[in-house]
Amino acid sequence: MAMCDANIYRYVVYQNFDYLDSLSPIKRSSEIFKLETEALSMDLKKEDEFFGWMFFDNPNKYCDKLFSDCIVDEKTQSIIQEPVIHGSITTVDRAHTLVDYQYILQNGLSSYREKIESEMLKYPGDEYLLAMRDELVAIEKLVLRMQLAVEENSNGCENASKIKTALKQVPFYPARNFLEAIQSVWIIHFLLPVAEHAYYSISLGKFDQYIYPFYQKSLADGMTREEAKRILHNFYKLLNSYSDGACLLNVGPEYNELSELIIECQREFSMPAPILGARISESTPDHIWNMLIDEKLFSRGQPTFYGEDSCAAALVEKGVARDRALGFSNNSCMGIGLAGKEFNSMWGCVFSISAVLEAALNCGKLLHTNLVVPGIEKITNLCELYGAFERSADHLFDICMKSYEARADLSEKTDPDPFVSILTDGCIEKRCDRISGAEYHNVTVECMGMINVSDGICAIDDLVFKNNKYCLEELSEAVKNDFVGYEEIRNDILKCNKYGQNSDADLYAIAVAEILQRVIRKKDHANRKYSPSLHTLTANVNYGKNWGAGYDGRLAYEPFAKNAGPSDRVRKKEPTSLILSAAKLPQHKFFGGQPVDLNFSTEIIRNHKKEIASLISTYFQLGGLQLQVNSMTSELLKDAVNHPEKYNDLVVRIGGYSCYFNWLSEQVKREFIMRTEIEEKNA
Amino acid sequence: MTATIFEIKRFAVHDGDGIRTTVFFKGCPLRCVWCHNPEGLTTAPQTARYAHKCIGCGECKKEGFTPDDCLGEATVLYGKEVTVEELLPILLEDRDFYETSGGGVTLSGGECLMQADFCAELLKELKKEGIRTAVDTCGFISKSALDKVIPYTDVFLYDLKAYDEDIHIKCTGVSNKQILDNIEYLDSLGKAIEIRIPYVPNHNDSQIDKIACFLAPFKNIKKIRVLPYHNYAGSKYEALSLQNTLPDRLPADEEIQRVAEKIKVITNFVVLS
Repeated sequence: MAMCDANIYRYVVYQNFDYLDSLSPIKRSSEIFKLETEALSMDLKKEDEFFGWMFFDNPNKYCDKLFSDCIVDEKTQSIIQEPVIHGSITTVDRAHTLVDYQYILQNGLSSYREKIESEMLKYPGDEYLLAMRDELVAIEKLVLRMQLAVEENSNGCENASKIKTALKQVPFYPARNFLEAIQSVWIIHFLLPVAEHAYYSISLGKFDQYIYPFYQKSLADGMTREEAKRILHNFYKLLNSYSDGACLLNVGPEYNELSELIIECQREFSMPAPILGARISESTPDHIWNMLIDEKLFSRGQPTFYGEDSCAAALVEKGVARDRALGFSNNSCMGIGLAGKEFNSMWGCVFSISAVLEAALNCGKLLHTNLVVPGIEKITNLCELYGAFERSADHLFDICMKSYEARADLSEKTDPDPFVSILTDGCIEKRCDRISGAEYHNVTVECMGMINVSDGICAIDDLVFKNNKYCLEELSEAVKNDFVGYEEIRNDILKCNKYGQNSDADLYAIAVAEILQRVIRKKDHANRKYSPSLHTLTANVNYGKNWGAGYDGRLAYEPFAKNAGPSDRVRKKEPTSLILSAAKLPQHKFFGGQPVDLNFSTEIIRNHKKEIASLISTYFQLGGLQLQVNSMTSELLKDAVNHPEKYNDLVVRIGGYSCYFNWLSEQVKREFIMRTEIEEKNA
Repeated sequence: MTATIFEIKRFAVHDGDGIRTTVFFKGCPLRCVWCHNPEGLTTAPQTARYAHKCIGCGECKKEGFTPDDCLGEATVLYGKEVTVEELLPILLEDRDFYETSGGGVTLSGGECLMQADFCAELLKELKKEGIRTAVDTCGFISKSALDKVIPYTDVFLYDLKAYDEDIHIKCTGVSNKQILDNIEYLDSLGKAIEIRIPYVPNHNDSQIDKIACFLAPFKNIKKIRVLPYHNYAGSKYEALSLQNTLPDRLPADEEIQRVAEKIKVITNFVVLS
C-alpha cells in the first residue's frame, strides 16, 4: 500500500467541500494543503535512521463535484477537447517537479519565509503571498508533530535523539551533516506530490553533488561508510513506498565517493526507485563505467545514461546561456532542466504525427474522421509533400497549443500550488503561481508516431514519386482499409528502407524532425517553451491502439515506434546502426528528450563492458542525449518463446557465436533460458 | 575481383578486440563435426528455408522471387558475390565505434583465406583507412595464401582443434600438419596471434594438454580463448537440408573453467573462456 496518494486530496475535499468551495482558489489551495498535512498519520520505527513514515490510511472517499470556479463554459471546453479529434491529447502535467535541493539544504525553508515576509511588507494582504506563508506554517506544524512523535518514541527507535536534533534544524534551517541533509530532502520530496496532487516522477536532481559536502563533513566527524549506507537504505525504502518510484537521481558527471556509494546501493538494494541517471562525459573513469555496466542494474533497465555535453548543448539551443546550461539536472522521464526554475508539463502535449501526414497527403482530409485541414492541395512530389506536411502540422499543432493554453490558464486560476511556487525561483517576487511565474514553463510535445510517419514518407517517395509504381490515392486507399485487399502494396512498403538502419531512410526522419521542431517552437511565448520530444515510454502501444494503419505498413492498432527507436517493421536492428541513425536526428532541437533503447545479453554485459561503454560514449560524442538499457532477462526470453513474432530481432550470443533466438529449437531455447536463470541467480 | 560472403555482422564483440564488423566468407576446407556455421561450408551460394519463420507474405510464390523479397526472412540466401568497393563503405560505417573501443574489422568464415587474393585486397584498403584488422582462420591454407594477407593483418585469430593428426582428421576431415606449421610460421614472423580452441567433449577433450604444450614455446601468442561447444546451429542444418552432425554433449561451465586453467598453467599465456 502506498504511504500516501491522491486519496488524501480527494478525502480532504470530500470532507470539507462546502467550506473549500466558499474560498478563493488561492486560499483554497493553501487550506487544502494544510488539511492534508493534518490528515497524515506518522510512525517512527525501531530501525529508522531518520524520520520518514507518513501515511494517509483513511478510506477512499471522494466527491464528484467540481468547485464552482472550476466549471468551464462550453466554448473553453471545446477548445480543450479539440485535439482529441485528430488523436492528440493535452494535459497540464503537475508532476516532474525538480526543486533546487542544493539551495534548500544550504539555506533551509526559513530563507524562503524571509523572502515572503519581506515581500509582504511591500504588498500587505497579497493573497498569493499569504497562501505561501500559510503553507510554510502548515509544514512547521507537521515538523512539530514529527518532533513530538520522536519524543514519544513508542517503538523504541535507537536513533531517536539524533533524529530529534535533526528535526529541530531541518528542513527550516541549513542542514549540518549527512543525516540532516537526507532528512531535509525526504520531507520536501514527500510534500511535493502532496502539494501538486500528482504522485509520480518527482526528481531528486544532482543528488551526489549537493549531498557530497554533507557526506564529507559527516565522515570527518566520525560517520562510517556503513552508517551512511544504512541511512541511504532507509531513504530508498521510503522512496519505494511512495509515489510511482520513477524519481530520477543524477550521478556524475564528476564522480565522487558518494556517487560510488550510491551506485553500490542501487545494485545491492535492488529496488525499482530511484532511477539512476548516469551522466557521461569524456572523463568518466573506467571504474565508474565498470560499476554502471552491471547485469543486475541492466536487468532492471538501469541506469539511464545521459550525454553531458549534448544535454547542455540542447539547453543552449533552447535559449539558456551556456554557463547556466552546464548546471542542468536530468529530470524524471527525459527532461533536461534547471533545478528550481521551471514548471515541467512533461506530458503537456502528445501530438499525433500520423494525423499530420494523413492531412498532408489527402488534401487536408484525415482518413478516419471528418476533420479537414484547410489550405492543403493535391501534392505531386516530395517537395510539395513536405510543404503540405508543414502547413498541416502548423494547423493541427495550433489546435493543441490553444487547448494546452486553456488548460494551463484554468489550472493557474483554479488550482494553483503555492508550495511548489515558493520553491520555484521568481514566484515569490512576482507573487504568482509557478505556471506563469517560473522562468520556463516547459510543455513537452511528444511527437507520437514520427518515425512511422517518416518511414511512410520514405516509402511514398520510393513507390509513388521515384518509381511510379502506385499513385498516392491507391496508397491512401490501402492504408484506409488497413491493407485488406492491398497486401501487395503493403509488402512493397515493407521492403522499403526504414529509419534505424543507418540508411537513406534516416534522411526522411531528419526532414520531418526539422519541420516539427520549427512548427512546435514557433508557439513559444512568455515563459512557455514548447519542447519537441520523441519520448513515448510505453504510450506508443496505447496511442497505436487508437489509430488506423500507416503509410509505413504499420497495421491498424499496432504500436507506434518507441522513443527515438525504429518501428517494429525494421527487420535487423544492430545497435551500431540504430545509434548512427538516431544521432543523425537534430537531437539538440528536440530538447524535450528522446531516448534510444538498447538491449544486451547478460554475457555481453558481463564480459564486454568496454565495448558497451564505447557504444554509449560514441553515441554521446555524436550528439545523442539519452540512452536506456536493458538486458535479456529470463523473463524476456520466456516471453520470446510464447510470442516469437514480437522478437524477430532478438539476438542471443554464447561463446563465439550469435544467432536469432527464434532460430533456436524449442529444446535449445529452454536450455538457454535455464542458463540465463542460473546467471541471474549468480549475479 | 569478387568474393562470396554469407554474412556481415556488426557490433561483433567476439571476433577480436573491441567493437568489430565481421565479414563471413563462404567456403571451408574443413568439415568439423561441430561446425556452427554450416552455411559457410560450400563456396557455392545456398538457399535455406526456416519454415517456422514464414509469415505467409506470399512473395515466394511470385515470379522472379529472390530471398530478399521474403518479408519474414524465412527464405535466406547464403552466399553473395561482392567487390571490395561494395564492402568497404559498409565496413567503414562503424568506424567511430572502432576508434572508441579499439575494435576494427575481422575477416572470418568459412575460411576466408580460401579467397586470399580478395582478402589481401580488402585488408589493404582497410589499412589505408587506418582500420585495425583481424583474420580468423582455421590455418589449413598454403603459406603463399598467408603471405598475401600478412602485411595487412594486425592479428590472426587462429583456430586449433587438435594436436594429434588422427584425432584432427576424425574431427575435421583433414590433417593438421599444415595448420601447426603455419602457427610456427606466423610466430616466427612476429605476427600477433590469438589462439582459439573449440572445446568439444568426446571429440577433442583429450587434446588439451598436447595443444597447450605445443603452444607454450611461442612468443607472439597474445591470448588463448577456449570456446565452449554449443549446439545452437541445429536449425541451420535443417534449414539447409544438411545432415546434422552436431555432437550431443555440451560442456559444463566448470569443465571449461578447468580446461582454461590447465592451459594457463602449461602455457603461461592469458587464457579466456
